[in-house]
Amino acid sequence: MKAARKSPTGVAIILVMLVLALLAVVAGALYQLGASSLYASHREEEEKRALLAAEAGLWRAATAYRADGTFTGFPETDLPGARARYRVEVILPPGPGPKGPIPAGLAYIHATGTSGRVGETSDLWERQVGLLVERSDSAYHYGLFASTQLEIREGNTDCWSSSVGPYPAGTRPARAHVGTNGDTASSVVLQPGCQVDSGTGIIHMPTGAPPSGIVSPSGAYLSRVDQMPSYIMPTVTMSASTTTAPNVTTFSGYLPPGTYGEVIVPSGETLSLLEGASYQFERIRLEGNGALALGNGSLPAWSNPATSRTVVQVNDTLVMAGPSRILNTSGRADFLEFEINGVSGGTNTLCGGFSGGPSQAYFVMKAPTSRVELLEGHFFGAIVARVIEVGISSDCRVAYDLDLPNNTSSPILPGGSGEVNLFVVSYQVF
Amino acid sequence: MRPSKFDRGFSLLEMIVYSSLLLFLMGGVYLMVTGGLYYFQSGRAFQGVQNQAGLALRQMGLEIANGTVIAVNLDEVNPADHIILLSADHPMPNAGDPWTYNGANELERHKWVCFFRSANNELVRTESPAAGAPLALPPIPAMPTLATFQTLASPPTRVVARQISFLQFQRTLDLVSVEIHTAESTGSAVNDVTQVVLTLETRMRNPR
Repeated sequence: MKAARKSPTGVAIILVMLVLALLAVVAGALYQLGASSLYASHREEEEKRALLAAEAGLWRAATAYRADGTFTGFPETDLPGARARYRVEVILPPGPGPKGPIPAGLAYIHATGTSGRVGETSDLWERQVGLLVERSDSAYHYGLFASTQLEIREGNTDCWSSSVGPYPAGTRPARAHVGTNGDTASSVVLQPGCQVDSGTGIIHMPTGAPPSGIVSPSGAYLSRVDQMPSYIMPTVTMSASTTTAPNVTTFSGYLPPGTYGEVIVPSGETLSLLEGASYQFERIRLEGNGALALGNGSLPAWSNPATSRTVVQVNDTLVMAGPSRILNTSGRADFLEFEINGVSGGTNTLCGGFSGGPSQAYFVMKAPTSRVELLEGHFFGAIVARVIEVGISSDCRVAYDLDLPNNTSSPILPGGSGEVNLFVVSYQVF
Repeated sequence: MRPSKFDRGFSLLEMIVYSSLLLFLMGGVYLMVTGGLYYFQSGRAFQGVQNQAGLALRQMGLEIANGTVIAVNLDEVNPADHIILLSADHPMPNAGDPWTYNGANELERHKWVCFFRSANNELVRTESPAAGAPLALPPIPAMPTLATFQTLASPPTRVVARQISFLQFQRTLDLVSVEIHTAESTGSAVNDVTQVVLTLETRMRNPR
């Protein structure tokens, strides 16, 4: 009877136990879910950190490899300010790289990012990225490259291969790209009707340039690539002073290689330069239908590229009147190089000779501090300048020589002192 | 024998008080249990959809990053509900084979890859060999239409994620942003739905 009398009080403890059991189950489930969700977020964050570390290492290595072609990579290195590290390996041809063999002439920069600091061995996540790059010390990697601004008012770029023959041998949409280091609005302007590599070319911009950095009609180019590191501009150093040198006043025969002051070529006259020679001028001016000719066909056949290259240094400007022409019968743009020092900041004007028959304006030009205006006609080679305007008077075509990047006779810096540019062939993340 | 005070039973007042307390207690327990179950289901649904969306974004991010802006169906004006891009990977089942380059050291492409949302709210990945592959760009080969991919049988068609309620791709220069919504029902009511919205921004770094 005593037990029976006490039984009603046991209901409370049973109910309490039931409630506690239910609460425990619910709490346990919620804990499991929370922990699982937390793990998923943790994994995502760690993977992202690893990827960012890999990217950081990749681009740091790209810069290092550009500066030093013997650079082989970084060992495990902490990413400053973050719990992550990277290691980078530069793989040379034939490789193989993580995605297969490395083509000749290229290099593969392979970076692995890890979510922990150097020495940490647990709870690590890895991501990998790779960059297939071309390293070249040639100053001419673009049909047109302007350090601050490029405008094509009327015209097009395309390309050919001078090793196959004079233009249009080996013509195909390939890499008649243009570019700029300008990172402000309208750094590249293409007017309606203008195209880069017939609409298949690339416009290289510096990293950080705004979307409005390119102003162009639809279909004018194929894609924009933000290049990092930025393109290193070539420099010009006059090999002799021209300020007090004698002017050129007669135009019979070939001008002996040397240093001269101003040369004004009257209409109907030709300034003939020897192949494989070096000239320095204070300034050059071609009037009327005056011409600047190289070799002109009366010299022995074009021989060794190393000895056939004529370098024309101009301390101030090269100014051509509308009908005047540049005659380079070799069909090799790298055989005639203009180096414009731009001492007065004046504008260089060039004409491609549409009105004078088929153009023979095969040349390359570096004018890193100058403005270059292409009036009209057909130009074969490449131009690197501070500002470039194309098609001032009429239609202009600039044909880029595909063999120029392999030409080591015209390095970015005089004497090829190590500065090179790096060009991204392909990017891989995995 | 006169019953003791323990054998008298409960008075009506005691019964009412006890019943009220029990009812109150049971009500509280009921609310806790149903609430716990609701959060349990919501949490499970959240986790499920987040995993789905995360997997889908990871897969798409890799393929987009390895693509090129010149061979993708996205323009810079109109968002799209699917993406079609040219890939340097070989067609399945040999997708792991080495990438190839032509004589001019230009990267070659082998197949078209498409991500789209099916009528069953599934994120589908499928691919089709590129005509004339391997091919270097340019020229850009004719891009297959979405309908072409929608009619492909598996394999290589496969479902990457389920319960995808929204999928949108937008391009600005070489930056592709993907917005993906995944939703899972957590109850019988129409609005008993757990939805996760995730976005991803991936740069297409390959020049060509």
